Amino acid sequence: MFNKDFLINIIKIIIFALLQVFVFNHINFLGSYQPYIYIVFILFYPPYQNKYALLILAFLLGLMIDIFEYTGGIHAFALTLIAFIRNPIIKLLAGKQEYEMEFFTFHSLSFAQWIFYLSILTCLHHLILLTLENFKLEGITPTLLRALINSGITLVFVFIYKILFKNKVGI
Amino acid sequence: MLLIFLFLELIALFLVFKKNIYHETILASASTSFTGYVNGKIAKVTNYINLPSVNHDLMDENAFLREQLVHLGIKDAKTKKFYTTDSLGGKQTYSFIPSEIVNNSITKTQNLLTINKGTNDGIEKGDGIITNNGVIGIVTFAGKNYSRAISLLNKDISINARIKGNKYFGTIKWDGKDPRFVQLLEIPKYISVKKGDTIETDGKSPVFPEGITIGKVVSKGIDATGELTIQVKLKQDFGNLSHGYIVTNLNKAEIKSVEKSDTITNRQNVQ
Repeated sequence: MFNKDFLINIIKIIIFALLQVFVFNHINFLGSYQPYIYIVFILFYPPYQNKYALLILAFLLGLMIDIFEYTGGIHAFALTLIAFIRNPIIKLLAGKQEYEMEFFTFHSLSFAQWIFYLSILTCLHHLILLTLENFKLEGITPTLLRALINSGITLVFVFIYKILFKNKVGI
Repeated sequence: MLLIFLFLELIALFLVFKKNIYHETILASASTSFTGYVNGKIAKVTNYINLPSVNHDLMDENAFLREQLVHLGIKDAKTKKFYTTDSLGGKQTYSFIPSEIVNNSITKTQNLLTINKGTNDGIEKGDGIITNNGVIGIVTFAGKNYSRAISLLNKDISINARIKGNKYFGTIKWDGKDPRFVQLLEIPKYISVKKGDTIETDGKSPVFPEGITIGKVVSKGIDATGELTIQVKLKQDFGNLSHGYIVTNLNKAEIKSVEKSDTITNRQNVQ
């Protein structure tokens, strides 16, 4: 588990955290919507790499954002959850068994499956994040709306990332 | 797999509820000084873009201060000495420390600010932050060279405020919806509040001096709990903050010690 891949991923999450804190936190649309691009790391984490490492990396990445933003543990919570349900969702979408996951690449997903995979994880992440941030049920409708709009903005950046790093990411 | 997952989630939840744990650890000062430093560098570049509007604001403020100087009637022509006409003896209560706001957010429901002044410059936890357009926030953590502050656009903040004309006071809070508006609560329902009335600080808390503008009334209504809620449009555009002043109350320690030795509560303790 603690091999070369793990070290490279550690460097990756540090870069993602710094990008988020210093660049993307300063971007906001219409005054109150902002992208959370660091989930790209979870979305594009190769399925053949260690899944236990993914959980720990997701937690560390979330924790880094939390420390910088003074948000307690909401980013860590949301990211770890996404990392946990990521593989089951891939399995469900692509119809794979556990033993097939080792040879699975994102190439084998169709475009529609791919969009669905990105959207559902992004929306879920934003929903958990914003609900925890609010921590009240009274404002659930505006929170839902904000989560959806925020997810849309994040997805735009995810697609830009996908186009920029086409060969590495797959599809 | 499941065990690791649950373990990590439990730690995360613990951190969510124990949010203040960051303030107590070394992480707070480390992350504040690091983000402060990098954001300061970024702000140095981006501030050039805002220079025209910053200059304009400063000129406005200069003009205003000059006007006040004239009203005070200072500087004797013969002795060339300044003197005050303040009947209270002219004792200084507040000191203003100019500062740059190096980091700021408006998209969350709990927004924070970073300023490039810290304990080395005399900043303490609990100091207020203002600009020439009004109240901005309150310092929550003071590092050596940088400090963190809670923005007025934060659900956890509440500030004493009053209506300029009739001096009735209430509490300013933010509902987390629109970063251009805050809400004035706890004003009695029989008070007549008109659209366009100025809302300013009250001076009842030692954090902010009296009479600092917050914004103007745009509408009022009765909320679900039957209380009067007044929508206040902020004079300061929070999306465009670059400079401000940290307000330190020089008598803060004394006020605190006086409030601690409250006779009523003491008597209750005795009984």
